[in-house]
Amino acid sequence: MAARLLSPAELITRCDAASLGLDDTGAPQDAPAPADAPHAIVGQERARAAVEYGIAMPRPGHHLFVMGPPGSGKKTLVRQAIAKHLERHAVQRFDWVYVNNFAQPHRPLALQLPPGRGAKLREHMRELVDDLGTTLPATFESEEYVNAVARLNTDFKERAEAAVLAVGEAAQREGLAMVRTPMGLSFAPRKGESEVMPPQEFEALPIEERERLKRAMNHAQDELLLVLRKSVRLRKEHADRLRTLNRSMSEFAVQHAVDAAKQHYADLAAVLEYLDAVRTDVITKADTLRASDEEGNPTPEAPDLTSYEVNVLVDLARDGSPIVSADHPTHSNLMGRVDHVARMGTLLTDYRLIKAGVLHRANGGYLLIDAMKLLAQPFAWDALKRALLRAQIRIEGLAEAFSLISTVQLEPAPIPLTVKVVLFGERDVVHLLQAYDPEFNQLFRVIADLGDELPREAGTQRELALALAARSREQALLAASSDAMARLLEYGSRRAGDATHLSASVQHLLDVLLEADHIARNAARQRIDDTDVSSAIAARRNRSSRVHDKLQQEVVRGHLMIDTSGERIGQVNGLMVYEVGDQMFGEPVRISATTRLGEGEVIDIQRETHLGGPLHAKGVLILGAFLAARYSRLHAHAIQASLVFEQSYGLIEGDSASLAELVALLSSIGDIPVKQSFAITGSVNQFGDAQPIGGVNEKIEGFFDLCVVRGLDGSHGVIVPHTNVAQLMLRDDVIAACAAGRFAIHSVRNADEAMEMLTGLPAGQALAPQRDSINGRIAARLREYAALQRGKRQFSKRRGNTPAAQGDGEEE
Amino acid sequence: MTLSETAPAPRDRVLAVLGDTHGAARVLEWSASLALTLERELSVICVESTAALVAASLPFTRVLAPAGAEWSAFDLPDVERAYRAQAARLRQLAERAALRHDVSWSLCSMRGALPQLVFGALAESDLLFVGPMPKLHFATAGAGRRGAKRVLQLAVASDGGAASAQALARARRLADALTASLHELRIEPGGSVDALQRGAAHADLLVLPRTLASPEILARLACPCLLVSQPVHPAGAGRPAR
Repeated sequence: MAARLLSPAELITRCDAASLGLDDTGAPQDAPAPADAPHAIVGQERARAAVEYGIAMPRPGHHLFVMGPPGSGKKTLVRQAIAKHLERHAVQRFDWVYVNNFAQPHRPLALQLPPGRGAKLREHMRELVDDLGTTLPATFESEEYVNAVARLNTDFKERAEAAVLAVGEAAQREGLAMVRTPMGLSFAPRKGESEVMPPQEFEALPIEERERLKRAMNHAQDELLLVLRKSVRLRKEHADRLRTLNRSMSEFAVQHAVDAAKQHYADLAAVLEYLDAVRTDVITKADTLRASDEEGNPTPEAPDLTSYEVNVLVDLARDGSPIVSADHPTHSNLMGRVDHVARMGTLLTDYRLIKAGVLHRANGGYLLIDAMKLLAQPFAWDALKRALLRAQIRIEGLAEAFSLISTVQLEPAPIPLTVKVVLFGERDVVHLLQAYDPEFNQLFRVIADLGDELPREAGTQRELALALAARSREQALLAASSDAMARLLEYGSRRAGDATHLSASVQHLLDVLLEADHIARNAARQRIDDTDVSSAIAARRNRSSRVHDKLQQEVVRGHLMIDTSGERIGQVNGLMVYEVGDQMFGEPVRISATTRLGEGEVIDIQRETHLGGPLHAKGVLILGAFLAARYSRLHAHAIQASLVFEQSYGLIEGDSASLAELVALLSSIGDIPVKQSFAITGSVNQFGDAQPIGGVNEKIEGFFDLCVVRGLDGSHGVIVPHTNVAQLMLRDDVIAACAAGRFAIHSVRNADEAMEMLTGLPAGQALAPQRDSINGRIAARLREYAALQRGKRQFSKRRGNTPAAQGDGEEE
Repeated sequence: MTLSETAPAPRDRVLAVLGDTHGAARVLEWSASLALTLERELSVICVESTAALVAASLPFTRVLAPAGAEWSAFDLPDVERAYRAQAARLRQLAERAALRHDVSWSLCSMRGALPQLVFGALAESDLLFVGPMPKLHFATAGAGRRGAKRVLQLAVASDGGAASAQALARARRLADALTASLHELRIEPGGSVDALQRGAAHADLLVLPRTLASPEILARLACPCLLVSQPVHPAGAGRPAR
């Protein structure tokens, strides 16, 4: 078969606007379809099933990773699946509060309450604290209490003083007086009833009497010391009695307030236990809870009851959504944190400064996180895995872990965790995690893969059009006409690089629609037409065409040498694709080949200079195999060939130019000129069959643009593998040129067809070619090379296009 | 307000006799309040115990500090220095009370035994506050430091005589001035000291007619007292300068 000239109809697969079922306002013509919703996801059935399974699977370790291209609706798909699941399966979620642990204040207690009751507990505790703030001072200011204290004090003083007085009386009997001085107590010889004997009179006493008095004084001093030491026990007893009095008074005050709070929580044992602890603590700390000044007098300020406040961490009454999205998943935003306050140069904290993380808020529900954002945050990924593996949220500050600050730290009680985590990301992220993190496979057992493309079927097109129309209505865009929507879908197909598929990046299509809306509004139109969409597409292409334009300028100026006319041996116009951002464009590249006597090598100059990737090298090796298998099966493959992409200074990767390289090689071996008005793309296998390549549309358009600049004369065209025909979604100007016969696109099935097209000669039989055919010339030349290699023939000067004529059938 | 260092005249003044700083603040407060009520001058007398000075002059006597655990030697200069410090402290307290009530005041020191002075050199004073007798004080745990403010309790001893009626009238005025409660203790003529002591056990201040008082009673009372007698104004005596 020969190369086939493609008709204009084959160059694009149009979208039938009428089949979309939209009216002029962009609304569906018949009953609303499921896709007629702003966030409908079209297609993606495999991913949808995976997401629904992952959401519904209650067992641990079945968290979900949803991968797919940006803008494909990953999060929407997950939210829809969760909403669908929640319609039939209610989630069990709770409020969580932190309260003071009176026994171990550095380990605050976590209490679980039914939704809405965490805030209620906080209110009840505030009421309790208010009550205590008034009843405690009132109790301790009551006459009953004051009199009781006075009685205890008097009793203590009387008992203590009586013992001292007894010592004084005993000393009195021994002729001594107990004297109070500003420096303390003293004993001295007595004169009369209460006076102290002056020194002169004491000296006048008999020596025996003086000694007796001194002994009596020593004895009295010892006795007094003994009595004072015993008074310490009395003091302790007095303090105990006072403490007991205070506790009984406090208990009276606090019991009623606590009982009032407890009746609201009869069904919550943990809360009742906490309230009992509050009661015990208030009673224990009765002394310290009474505010007093330096003199011991009560002050008007309320007692410090802050340790009875409740820190509501999760309040489902305020934010009860079971779906929580972590926009900034730092370690502390994820796991919660404990704040500190600076006071007198010291950092202090307590349970009231514990702050919730998104894991707390999502507990019992679903947590959605962008994988890359999570992995980019230090320690966040490890912390999340730890929490999921332990099934509990344990707030551990990084500063504490790394001893960055030395101050009071808390160890809040861990909170049980039952959450479904959904990570979003691109495929590379999943593959890296699967390869290098064993815990990832343990935790994220459900992987949902959203395709980059959707099958382009009538139903899918209609659903996508409806979804786009719904989103445009949601964003208050002008209504898009059916033609505009059809044009947009054609662009979606072009984005997919395949006329039989559509791009799954709905967001990208919506962005085009947004720009079309802008253009239509600027033109004062009431709706978006297909011309607006085409303009938007062209504008987007134009914005990213700087490199394309620059390269084309270089070609036009002759700096980059590309011939678009004439013929040349060993030189072919190949086609390359460049990617700039999310845009692709094609450019022609000159591929040349030289051949000579050798040992069967095909030298890939790109590879030798490390400017060729492995796929390209593979393609070149296949060429060598093809040559040897087809033309040198019965003799030595005595050729050495060199292949190069001329004026290419970057890395070449891929095998999409291997068909062009083969043409250049065959041209060089057979001394057959190649038409330069054509460009060719496609890969080739060892049998010479043409294989499909990517970016076919961009490649064709790249050569077309150059030919347009130089002037289309009807001789120009592009040769593509026939398997790429189904992917053609070319620009309107290319199609118009083809329809007018000024440009041509041919499909080929193999290298022979391509050679015929490019040389105008018949290919001939592959294994038994005619003398004047392409294959015949090549085979003859290779036989000559083989003979030369064996040294049996001297090769004469080439003569025209039949250098191997005299060698035919003359071997051996 | 003026400060006089001269010896106080016994009449037209409210006298406060103090042998110790313990409880002195309250006594001075009450004294200043009564002085204001009666538009009198406040005279404060610091008593330096003769017995303490004599005991310190004995070479072998020792002293036990209030919070001490060991007996230590002491000399007369030590005691005199302690009395000077005590007087300075009382001067501060008196000044503060007098300033608060805007009354004239004076302060002097006298040596002797407090009960004997009250009935000797100061016998003519008709309103004489007597501070608590110097003794070893046992601070009460808890209540003393953090005790709640309570209503001041006054007790007045009465035997039904004219002097008692006079004391009762003074006590009522004082109770009004201090917003205090007043409790009347009926004492039989020739009643025992113990009965008086028990009756005044829970009182903050005992108002006592001089006719019912004696040095023995003063020595045994646990609370401060106000001795009241019939005022005798000397001819020509006017109101104190203020």
